[in-house]
Amino acid sequence: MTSLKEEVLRFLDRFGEERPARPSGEFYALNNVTFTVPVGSVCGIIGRNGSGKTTLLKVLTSITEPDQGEARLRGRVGSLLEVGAGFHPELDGIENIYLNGAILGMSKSEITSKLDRIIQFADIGAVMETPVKRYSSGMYVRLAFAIAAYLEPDILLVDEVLAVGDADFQRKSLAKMKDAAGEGRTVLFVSHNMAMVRQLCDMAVFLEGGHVKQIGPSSAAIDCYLKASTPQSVQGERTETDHLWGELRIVEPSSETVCAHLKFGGDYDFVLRLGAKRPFKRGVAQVRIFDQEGVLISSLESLAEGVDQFDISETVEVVFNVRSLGLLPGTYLAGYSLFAWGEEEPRLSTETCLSFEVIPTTVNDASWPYLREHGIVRLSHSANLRAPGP
Amino acid sequence: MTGSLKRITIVRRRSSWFDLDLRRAWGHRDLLFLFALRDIKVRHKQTLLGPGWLVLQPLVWTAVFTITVSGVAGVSTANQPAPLFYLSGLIVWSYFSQVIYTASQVFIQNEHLFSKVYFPRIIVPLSSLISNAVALLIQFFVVLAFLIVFQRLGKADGLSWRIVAFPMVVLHLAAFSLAIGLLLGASTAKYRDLALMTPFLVQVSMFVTPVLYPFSAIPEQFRVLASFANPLTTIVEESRWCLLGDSMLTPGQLLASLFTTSVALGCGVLLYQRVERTVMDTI
Repeated sequence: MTSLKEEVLRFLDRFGEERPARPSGEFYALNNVTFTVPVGSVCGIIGRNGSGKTTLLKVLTSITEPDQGEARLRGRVGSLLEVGAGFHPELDGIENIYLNGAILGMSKSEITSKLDRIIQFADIGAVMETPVKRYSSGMYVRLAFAIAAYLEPDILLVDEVLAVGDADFQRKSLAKMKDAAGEGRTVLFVSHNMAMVRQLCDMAVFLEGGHVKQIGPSSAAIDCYLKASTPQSVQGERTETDHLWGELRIVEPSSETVCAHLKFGGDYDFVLRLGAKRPFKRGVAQVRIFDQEGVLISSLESLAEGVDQFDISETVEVVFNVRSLGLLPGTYLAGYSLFAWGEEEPRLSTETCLSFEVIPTTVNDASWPYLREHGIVRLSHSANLRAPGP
Repeated sequence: MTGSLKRITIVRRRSSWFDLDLRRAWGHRDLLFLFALRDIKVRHKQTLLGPGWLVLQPLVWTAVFTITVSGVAGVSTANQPAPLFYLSGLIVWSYFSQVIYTASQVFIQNEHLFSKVYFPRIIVPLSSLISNAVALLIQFFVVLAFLIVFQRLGKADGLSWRIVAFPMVVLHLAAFSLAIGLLLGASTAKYRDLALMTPFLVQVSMFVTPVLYPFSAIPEQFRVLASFANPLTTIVEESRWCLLGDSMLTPGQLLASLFTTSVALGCGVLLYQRVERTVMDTI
């Protein structure tokens, strides 16, 4: 079995004999999780927020110790839970390459030998002597990722850090991760982005509530995840916290009837009904629309749409008017968040609470409809022919 | 590639207190020096005086003590010129206070970093030993300059062979500072109110250590006990022995001090390693 790299985690039953029951308020973030990842494969870790994905990575990287069970990792382990961990704003680019490289586990001589390639990969120009606090956020991320890209461990643990930088740089980073797998490295990749997992991973582990729900080829695990996470109801279930609740629905503007099948190019209102059990001040609402793979397509922001911060004394409805729907046919998911103005963390939030189908319809009296294979959004409004000018 | 695959890392609960994993810490030795280098570089960026602060601080304290403690209160300086007497004690005490300040804050200051990447956590307090040693070296040269000036004036014995023993004093000092720093760092991670205790402890340490008064002012029958209870007592005296000569220190007192230092360091390392294993879940 020397060709196998084993990651084995076995968290015994909550009320195992060796240990007393956990005090109330505590719970196991992971329990009875066992799986093996063969050498050279890329394994996606998928699951909803709070399903234990990040805890799994933290255990595998030794950031936190498991209560029970063990993991065996064959070869050098490199982790990338955050790009630029330990970057110091006052230090310049070169100094930070050494510092961050060493934090990630490289030796000084190893970094020196890779320095030129790292700088070339980052491709941020002649700013290596400038303190990184003067970098733009894009430059910062590129430099940080370049270091990580040359970490070259036998096992790489990655936590959704690829969702950074511009598209061009993302493609470069993805290619680098694929290369890593080609060279016989093993990658464990935590992500919400199913499109990326599908593209990158050979296998996937679907975690739910700290347990392994499905493990196998990535497409099978993703299908299982999508099935489990796609809400079946067309009217979003009411989500509640102690003081707040919310409901999202999509209606036809004229009749106010709730729709699950939306016509491409049609007019719809996304109605978010919010309630507060005690007065809530300065609210800001956001509705997010995802494709089936979990890629964020668009956010509808109350502030950006010109709705000022609002107070909720009992209930209020935020209505987002969507006109000539530009989403191409397919299945989509929607979720929402309510923020208190100026705060980063939402007070009330659902990842996705309803799904809807956009059905093909022709527009502008065309005889051809747009279909799923044409992409995700329609940008043109109309088209015409004309003779080229002189 | 095939060679490195033979190395197997096993992640599991370490139930033993003595599971130190020193091999892994050794693998990160480059990080130790890079952290120290970072601290040295960053400390004086965008400051007016830069490293001048390292010189100015003990000089100001020395001036204040020379005027008040020696001049006004008339406390003995063991027949040594007052500035030399205070400086040789102050550089030791300020190293101790800097290290324990830093170490006591380790888990709080580095919370974000520690929650994102693993490296042996003891690297951080160890690196502060090195970065502060550089500060100590600069201050050491200040003392040497004073020593030469007072020698010219005929008021001090001046340099002697004893100065070559100073690195040993620094080792003893570093070991004890690390011990207290680790104990404070580990407990502060669990009980935040202990963070308030550190500045208090630093102030107290100034008075229970013979920085402002000579070691010989401690009644003879209590000197072993004092060395046992507060190893810093003999460390300051060791420093004065190296720099100024003329010391009352006996081997018994030295042994008492070394004993406490080793026990405290052992406890510090064990407690710190114990805490680092799961602290990121609760901090």
